[in-house]
Amino acid sequence: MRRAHRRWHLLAWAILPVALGVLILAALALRPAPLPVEVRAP
Amino acid sequence: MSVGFRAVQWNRHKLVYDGVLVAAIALYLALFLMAGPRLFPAHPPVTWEILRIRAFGSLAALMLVAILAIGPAARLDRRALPLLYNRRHLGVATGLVALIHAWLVLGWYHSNGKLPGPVSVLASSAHWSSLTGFPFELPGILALAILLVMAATSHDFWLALLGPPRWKAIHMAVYLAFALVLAHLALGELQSERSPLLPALMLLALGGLTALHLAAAARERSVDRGSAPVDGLVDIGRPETIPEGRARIIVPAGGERIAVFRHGGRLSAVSNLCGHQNGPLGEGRIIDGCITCPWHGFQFRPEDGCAPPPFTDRIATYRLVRQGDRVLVDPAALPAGTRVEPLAIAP
Repeated sequence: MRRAHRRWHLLAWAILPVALGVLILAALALRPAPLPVEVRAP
Repeated sequence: MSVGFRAVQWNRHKLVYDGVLVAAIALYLALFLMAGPRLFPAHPPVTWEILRIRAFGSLAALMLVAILAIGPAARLDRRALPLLYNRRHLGVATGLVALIHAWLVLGWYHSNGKLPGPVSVLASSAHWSSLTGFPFELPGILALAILLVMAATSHDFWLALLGPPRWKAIHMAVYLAFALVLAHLALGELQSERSPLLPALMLLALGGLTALHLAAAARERSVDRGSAPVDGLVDIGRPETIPEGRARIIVPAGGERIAVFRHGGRLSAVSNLCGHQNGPLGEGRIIDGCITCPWHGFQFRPEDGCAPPPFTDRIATYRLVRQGDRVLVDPAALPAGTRVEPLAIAP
């Protein structure tokens, strides 16, 4: 692997986890409450 | 490394690799479909069609995580190198599994409307201004497109046609595909699935991959510190300390790595970058008189950096100089394929 490639690689792995971690946590926090379940007698 | 076109140069390693891969895919799908009703205890129960969609989608995501883990794992532990050898077949299989996932989605959710399936995917649930209402299908489609482009250009024909830097740049898009898959899951399945298992697995995959890549990068940085040349030459130390058939990797400050190989009691210096995919030649060994790359087995003669006939690949060579009991290397790379007389270890 070239030196320049190694730098890009490191930069990608410094940014990716932060951005994706924020996205996952935001999506978790903002998800709508589950719809009420209608249970019918058979 | 071929003289004529052959779709795949099969050998025993590739057959075993692909056999294990196909068996693992079949086993995962069977286990997922059997355990599915217990994994998703929803009301109303998850249908067989949705289970199939989830089985193929989760498998594609897992395979993508495995692909991204193999590179740094091989840098940290040589025992992972056999996984790297045929990683492209794993990539092609991932693209196919993701394509089946998309095909099942189109067939189940988007086949009975007025709009054609691919248009219906994007038109049916678009709330572009809301994070949780965003059409989660879009990042999935983009990730699939990247995986299919990578699968289509995975053959060495494309590597030779595009050249290693352009080919590598295209295939670096795998990181973008991974980010898009996580966005697809976070904005889609995570919004409806209440089990903590999915977010836990997503964060585990992200954290695990990050730790692996950063650990590998830290190791590479320690190698890359480099030595400043003195009078234009870099000291490689005492030559007899290099094991026969192996190399010492030298890094001139700010430059690319150089591999100094010991072969038959003599030394030769070549670029550490394999002409195939920039693999670390200096971590390989001499087999049948040729430097052999640990990644895919490409070979180069140590004295001139040329692949043995009939192959035509070449790498740069370097000049070695003896000073007393030490050997030094001139960090100025000679044109690829330039013959340099090997330096005898004993003066």
